Amino acid sequence: MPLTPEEFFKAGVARVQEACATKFGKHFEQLAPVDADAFLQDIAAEKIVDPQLPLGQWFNELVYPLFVQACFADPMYGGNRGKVFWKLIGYPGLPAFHTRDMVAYRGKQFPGALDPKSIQDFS
Amino acid sequence: MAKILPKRTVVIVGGGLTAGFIARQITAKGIDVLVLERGGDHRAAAEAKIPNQRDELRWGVQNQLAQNWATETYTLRHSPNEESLPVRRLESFLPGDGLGGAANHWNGQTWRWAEYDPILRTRLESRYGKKAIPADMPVQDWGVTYAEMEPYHDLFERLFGIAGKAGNIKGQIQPGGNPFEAPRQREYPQPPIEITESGQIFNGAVESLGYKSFPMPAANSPGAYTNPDGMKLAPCQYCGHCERFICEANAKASPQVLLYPMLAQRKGFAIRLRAHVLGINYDPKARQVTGVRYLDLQTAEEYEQPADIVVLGAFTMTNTKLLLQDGIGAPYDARTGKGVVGRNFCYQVTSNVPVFFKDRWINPFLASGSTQTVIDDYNGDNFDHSGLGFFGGGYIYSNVTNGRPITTRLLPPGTPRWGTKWKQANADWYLHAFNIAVHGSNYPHRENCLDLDPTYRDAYGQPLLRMTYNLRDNDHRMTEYVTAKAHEIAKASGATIVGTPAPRRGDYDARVYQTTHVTGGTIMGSDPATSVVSPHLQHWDAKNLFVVGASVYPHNAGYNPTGPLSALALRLGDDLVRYIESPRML
Repeated sequence: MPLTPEEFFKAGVARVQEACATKFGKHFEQLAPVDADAFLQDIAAEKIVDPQLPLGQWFNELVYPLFVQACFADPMYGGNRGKVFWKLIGYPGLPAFHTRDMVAYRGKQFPGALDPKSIQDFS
Repeated sequence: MAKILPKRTVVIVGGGLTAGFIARQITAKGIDVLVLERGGDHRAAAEAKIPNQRDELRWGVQNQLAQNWATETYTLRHSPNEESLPVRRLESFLPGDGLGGAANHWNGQTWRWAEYDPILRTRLESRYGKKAIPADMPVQDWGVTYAEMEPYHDLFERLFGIAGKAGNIKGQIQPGGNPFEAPRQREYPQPPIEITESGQIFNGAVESLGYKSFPMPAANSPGAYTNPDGMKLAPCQYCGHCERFICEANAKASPQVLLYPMLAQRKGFAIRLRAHVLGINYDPKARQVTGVRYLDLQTAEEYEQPADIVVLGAFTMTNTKLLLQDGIGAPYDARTGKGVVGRNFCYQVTSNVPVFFKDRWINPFLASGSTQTVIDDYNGDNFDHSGLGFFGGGYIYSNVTNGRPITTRLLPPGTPRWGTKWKQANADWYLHAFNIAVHGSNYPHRENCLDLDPTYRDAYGQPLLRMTYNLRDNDHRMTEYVTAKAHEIAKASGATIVGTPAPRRGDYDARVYQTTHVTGGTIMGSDPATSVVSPHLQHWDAKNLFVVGASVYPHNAGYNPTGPLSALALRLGDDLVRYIESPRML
């Protein structure tokens, strides 16, 4: 019986911790940043092979999208603190009433991008 | 046992776009209609209000306005020899849920298809010879002509306030419009919406190559608009939250803005929400249907709703599933090529070439779902396919519909997926990049079809619909060819970096969004041996059962499907009036 996404996610966490323990003798959270990064690169590139679970697929399809969501979703979800990623890229956020901006800032830098607004700013 | 309800004249399954159009036509003639919709009414909820309407994660990534895959998904196999498995997180296409259906969360790109699309087999045979069409490509004529549909296209465009520039008025080619457009009786009801910086760059590039671009026809209203029913659209805010979102500004033409509030005032109109249709009651001896069975999702009570006429107006997949479940029409068998229900299941073949401009401000968040400019030179049979080894094609366009940051960030080739260099590339290019994209056709293949999965079931205990589907040689050749044309445009755009062209390669991937345009399964035609419904959308084996939607398209063009299915739904409304006057095969 194939795994549901939830079962796949949880099984992957357990298998990765086991692979980490085998390779480094400690938990993933205890790794030095440089080791953690290299370990994740290896998982993503399917260089760490688990006999039970396709870890590369687990990382690329379930975990990596969550990382991207944590960076760029509205800060009310707990990531993107202080809209740091929106400021980094220049996404102005809300309210996005751009009827006039559409023409006025076509091809020009949009000043609202310097001070983005989130859902909480309008709640 | 199911409680039996009082009989209605017409019952429509699915409270989306087509049901709204049919109900408009028949209630005007005093005919009563009941619409059964499995979802709720989104209009007063968080998805239709600032600020939560702008929540990319909730609506744009978790797709909370689309069908819940944990309740009902589809299974997939790439060939009849494979074992099918349920797609647990289907992202490829997004059926709607709730009043308005998928037309709540559409982008608004609105096309009439080419004049030859309803006579595609005739067209290809006359141009390339009978032998040129591969035996495994069952393209067929629809049994209706574009000329018959034109008045209904015109009505649809007035009702939805479509914005665009005509390319062909009564055979006269119009400057600024699509020179390949099918002849229309008059100009669009509204002028085009604003185009983006990316659209201007695209226009310059295609002009330098000798093509004529035009603005995407849009259901996103450029100004205040009142339709012939007195229903109103507000001006578009270019907020970049169209597809996967409800327009809280009422600027995107949608059934829950323009049709259902008007219908609610009409005598004889009724809708039941949270009514999940379980099946159609069919009497094969009488060749008639007698009504439908549904589950009230709020009380878990089952009802039987008798009706003189049943119309299936649900999404492509549900229309097909309901016919298969109750054995109405012979199921298609890919091995023998016999049977009809489930055949000619098609999707679309899209691709991209990203372009990056160091010194141009693309500002992708200043956009609507249809703020694109387009060339139609490589779509359908708009170009000579002699010696190319494929049929079909796609339109090529500057594809900026939004700048929602989780999903709409382009990064140059070679960028790592996290870390400092990844952050820097996001900072450098988010505001300065867009895709030159191809929205391509998918002609039917003998093995691409729908049937009921033998193993997996939905939350209601009914079999899941099974897709046997893959991209075929014809599709792979088409996408290579047209993506190469898009690449030429990208190279002529003055881009600092032209990204890697990505024609659609390999197997169909249900985990990646491509388009919501799945078609076929209950196709229309003049021959009962190769079609499920007649040219008037009447079921060949049950004359009081009608089916409408993209499920009746015998092939999928490189155009968005909303135009023809709206025209067909309005025409079906008029046909139902004639049928009720004198029940017969129309």
